[in-house]
Amino acid sequence: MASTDGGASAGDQDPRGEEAFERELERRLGTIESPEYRDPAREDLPLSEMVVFTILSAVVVVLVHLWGY
Amino acid sequence: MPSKENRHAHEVESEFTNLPILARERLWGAFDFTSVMTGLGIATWAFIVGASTALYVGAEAGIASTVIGNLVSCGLVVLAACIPTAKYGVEQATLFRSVFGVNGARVVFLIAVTLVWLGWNCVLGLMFSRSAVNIVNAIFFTGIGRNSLVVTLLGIVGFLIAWFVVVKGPVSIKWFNRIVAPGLAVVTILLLVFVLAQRPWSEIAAAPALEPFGDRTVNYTLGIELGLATGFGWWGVIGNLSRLASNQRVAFYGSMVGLFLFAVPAYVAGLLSALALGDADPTAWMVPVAGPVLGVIALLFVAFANVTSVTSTVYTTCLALRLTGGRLFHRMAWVTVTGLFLLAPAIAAFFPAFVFNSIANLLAWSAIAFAPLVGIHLVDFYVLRRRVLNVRACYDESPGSGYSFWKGWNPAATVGLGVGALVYILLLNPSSFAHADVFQFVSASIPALLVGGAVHFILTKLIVQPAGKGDYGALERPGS
Repeated sequence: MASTDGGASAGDQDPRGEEAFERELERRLGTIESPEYRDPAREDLPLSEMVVFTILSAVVVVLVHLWGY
Repeated sequence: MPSKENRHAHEVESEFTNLPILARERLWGAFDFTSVMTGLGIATWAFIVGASTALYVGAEAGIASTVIGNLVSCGLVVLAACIPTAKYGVEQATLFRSVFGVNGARVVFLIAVTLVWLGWNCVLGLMFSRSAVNIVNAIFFTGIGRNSLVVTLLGIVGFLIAWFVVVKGPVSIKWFNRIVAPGLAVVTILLLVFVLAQRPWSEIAAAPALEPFGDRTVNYTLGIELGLATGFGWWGVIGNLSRLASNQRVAFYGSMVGLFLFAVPAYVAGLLSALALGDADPTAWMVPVAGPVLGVIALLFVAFANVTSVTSTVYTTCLALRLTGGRLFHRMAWVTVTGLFLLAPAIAAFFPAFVFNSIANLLAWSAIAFAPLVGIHLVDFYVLRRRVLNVRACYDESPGSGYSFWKGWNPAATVGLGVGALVYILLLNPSSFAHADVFQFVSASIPALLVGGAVHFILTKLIVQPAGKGDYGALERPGS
């Protein structure tokens, strides 16, 4: 089933799989470490956004507690 | 530059292994990722957790404790598990080597995550089969029992469906969730509407808890504790999904929407239904509450919701298994790993009564490990490493690796986990729910989280960093 979707990974019942995996891993690490590599996911959530979220959560906790307990 | 065919092969391949995801391979935008997390959050287990809360608290205290417990724990667990994996595109077991070391991460995942999700998959399979049996009973006016052999056989059918879907990978999981997640949201709303339409709010609010302790504060804190345990329980599974999210904001808010905002109404629906009907089995509510037609439709969605959750958890846990299980699992075909993982729940399907009666214990035992793990993970990533990891070191298993620590073990994290777990047990017995006096004011999970994180921080400052272990001085570098 896996092979029909290309789902077999490096290493699937393939004696050369581990070698292929290492080669692919090295290729990817090389790409990631390249100065030209850009990934929008690397941009951290701003601290201010996390603080606002924390404050809002605290407000919800207090209000819900006062209502429910 | 790889050819189009090769590039496609790599893209598919990375979804099934622990290879780091590249920017162009991130499958899920805001809608898809939120759908996946909603499918994970709204399963029958949501109704079961709500029903478990009804054992100790009534409607208003139950809603409050559910919201508080889940908001706090989901916020913390998403920050710990989703943000690092989304940032680096690396699945959680691999990334977690930066905290516990190569061998430590392997043991933690094998024991904590695999066993807990095996347990939950047993429950999900049971809920699938009981839903199916209730559908048959409603349509054909049969009287098939909750714990009959038919339930067992239908549970195995459910696992076979899940196996077929998960072998197809995250693309099929995404499409499955696109269909089922919205349907489940409708079921939750309908359940709430019908329960509230049949029983006035004043009557539900006045309904007593099913099996409360004598003290009101203890019961309320137990409700919060169940909410905390539910949220922390996501730790081992969500990181492997969020690594496919398009960015950190999608990973964070998508997870909070799916696991908290959409899941809490399902917990509340479970809570109110259990209080109104006096039955803790969610599959028994639908037909009496919504009538035979809508009840059967609702049960169909509930049944498939369990399959969506099984597929998501099997995908992410088996991915971790391939890494942490050593060469045996690493070389094993994806279809074989997932099949073996589903074998144990399939066997457990032969003991439905035992599985159903063990749900509360499963929840409490899981929090013993996950609460301190979340604390340790947060301290390590945000405080000690300032959100900077060395991706190459995560994959380097040599003794000289930045994350090898001592023979692949980080004693700071290991001791932190042990002490945190001990604190939990001292505050709350997960089998009997016997508790220390102070439990009613502090819960068990929060102290376990704080102590685990604090011990990890102190030992890292006193022992690990002075020894030059753990690559804690890493500066922002390419690949970091």
